[in-house]
Amino acid sequence: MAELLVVRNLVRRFGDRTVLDRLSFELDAGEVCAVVGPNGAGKTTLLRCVVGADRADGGSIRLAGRQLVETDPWVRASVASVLDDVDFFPDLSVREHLDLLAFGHGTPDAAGTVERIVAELGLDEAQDQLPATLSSGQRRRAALASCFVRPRRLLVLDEPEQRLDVAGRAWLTRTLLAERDAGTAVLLASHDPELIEAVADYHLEFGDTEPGDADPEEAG
Amino acid sequence: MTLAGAVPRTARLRAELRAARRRHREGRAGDLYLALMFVVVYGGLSYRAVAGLGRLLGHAEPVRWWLAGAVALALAGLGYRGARVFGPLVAGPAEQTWALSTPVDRGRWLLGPLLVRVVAGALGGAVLGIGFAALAGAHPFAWVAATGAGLGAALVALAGLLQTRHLRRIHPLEWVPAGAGFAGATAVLVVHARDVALPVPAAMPVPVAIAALVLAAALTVAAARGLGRVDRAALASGAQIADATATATIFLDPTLLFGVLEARRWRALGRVRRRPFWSGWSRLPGRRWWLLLAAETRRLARRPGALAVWAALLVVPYSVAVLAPVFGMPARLVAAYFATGRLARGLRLVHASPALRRAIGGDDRYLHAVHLVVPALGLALWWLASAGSVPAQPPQALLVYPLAILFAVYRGATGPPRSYDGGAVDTPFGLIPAALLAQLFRGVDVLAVVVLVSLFVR
Repeated sequence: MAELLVVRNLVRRFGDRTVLDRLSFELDAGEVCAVVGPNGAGKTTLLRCVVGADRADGGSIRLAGRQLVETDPWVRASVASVLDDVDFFPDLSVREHLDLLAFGHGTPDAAGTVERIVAELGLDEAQDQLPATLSSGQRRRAALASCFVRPRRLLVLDEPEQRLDVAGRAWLTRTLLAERDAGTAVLLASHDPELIEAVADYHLEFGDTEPGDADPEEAG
Repeated sequence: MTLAGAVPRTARLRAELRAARRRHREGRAGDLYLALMFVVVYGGLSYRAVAGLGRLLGHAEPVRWWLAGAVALALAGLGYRGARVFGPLVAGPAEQTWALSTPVDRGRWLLGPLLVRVVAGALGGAVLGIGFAALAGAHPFAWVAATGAGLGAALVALAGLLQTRHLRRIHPLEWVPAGAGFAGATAVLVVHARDVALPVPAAMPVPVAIAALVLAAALTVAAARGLGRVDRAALASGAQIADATATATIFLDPTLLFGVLEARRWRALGRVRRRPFWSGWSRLPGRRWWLLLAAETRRLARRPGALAVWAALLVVPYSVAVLAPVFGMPARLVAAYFATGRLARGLRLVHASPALRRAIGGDDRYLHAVHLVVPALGLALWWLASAGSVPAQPPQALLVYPLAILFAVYRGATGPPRSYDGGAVDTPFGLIPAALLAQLFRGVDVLAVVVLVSLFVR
């Protein structure tokens, strides 16, 4: 299969601390890569650089042969992500958030797609609720739903299993496998060995770090 | 893999977002009315106060013109620095996730916010120009205000332009406006102290105002052209600070903002050079006391900005002594309070953290005393250096006033944790918990008393 994501010699420093040190890897379409490692190893920083939420100090990231630049509309249409910085408009319901995103991406049959994802994620009852009334698990489901109501070639997820119950984790596993089968490349950081075992084609191991070397972007 | 359909126009997506948000909002007109009232009432009062002060000070002397101009430039430079810290364009996490992640035209999405910020910069600059005209008698009034508006807009547009070029680090040259303002004020004060006559300034030439406005327009156009290059990383960097500022404003607690700024500063620093504390301390009597003091001074050395502000505040009493001599001593007291406060970070930290106090050991009074040494020494130096700003020193200025300021700083740094419950009082800014008011004015209350005393006991 063709290489979809190619990361070469990626470097990210905070002050004089180097969190990502000339990291290189490739990810093909229809392949799932799990980024694993201890807290503070740089997993979240890597994902943030890949989606353009942070800028690397060196190296290159290419998507389908093109330089990955977040300001490129094609890149935004291609990369769907849920990192740790997802938030909601306080005055929009869950359904309105998803409708807005599907509309903004020009998703074919936006209403039908949103309807289906809401049902799959068990958000039917909560779809008209405002974010302040949602539980942390429901917020997580709504955030994950944002990836599936829009087009995507690359899915980037930071610990997607967090706050999901057993049914939610089962849905996540099924969905990631379906995405893989549909040809979407998936890059995820996770601490859940069962999820990784079930979906990942290969691992990107991040080494041990000293406590003082913690990844400043990483909460968990 | 899902394929994309037709991406909507930016205006259409924005309209959808606004329409959806409006459905759940009530009293929007009331909010706008309140904001307008706030601007009209407080703007009018501020203008009357500044104009009244100008009349009170009488005929403008050249030194006042130059000094007020330098101070206005310094304030504009600090405003520019603030705009760069914020972005000036920011997008909160919600906007990033649900709107900016779509492939709609980024440049068009950000054009409105850029223009709003440029207009805000123009308003801020006009306010500075009006203050300058009222205090220094600069004229013609309208052209001075227009020059201020043009320069204010130009600085914000420049900040926007640099954001489009992905220059997230502040270049040393960007300190030039603020630095020139402070240096200019210092130079004017030195020249004035030596009784050197300054040239009488001419009326503000109309071409200067027009040039400022043209510069603002050119920079705005340049910034607008590059908006499509502003990426998520650039928009996110100021969002945390904007969020903290909003929270700090709502809760009237500036420490919420300072905490975020401090965390960013330490994160940018990343790592520091490890140095053992001098082993000679261990041979001195009361060795723990000396070690804590050494740690405190080492922390201070890692915050050179605090020392710079401490020193820069010396300009305040000397400037006020020239601009409004009647307020010389009160200005000196207020500036001394803020300058000393910059050195009291260790005291605040130790007091606010029971865990830190437990880890260090010793009783609270002992720890407070150790961490009061640096502020006390800093205040003593600062007080001596500012002595020349008030020619006739009343006897209480020798010891009573500095001790009162030190007490005010100590009181402010050692307050109880913020509490937002309890009864509320009605203020011009809305209902505010009484306990919170008491906590906010802790330290400032002592300062207010000292300032009042200085006004009436000479």
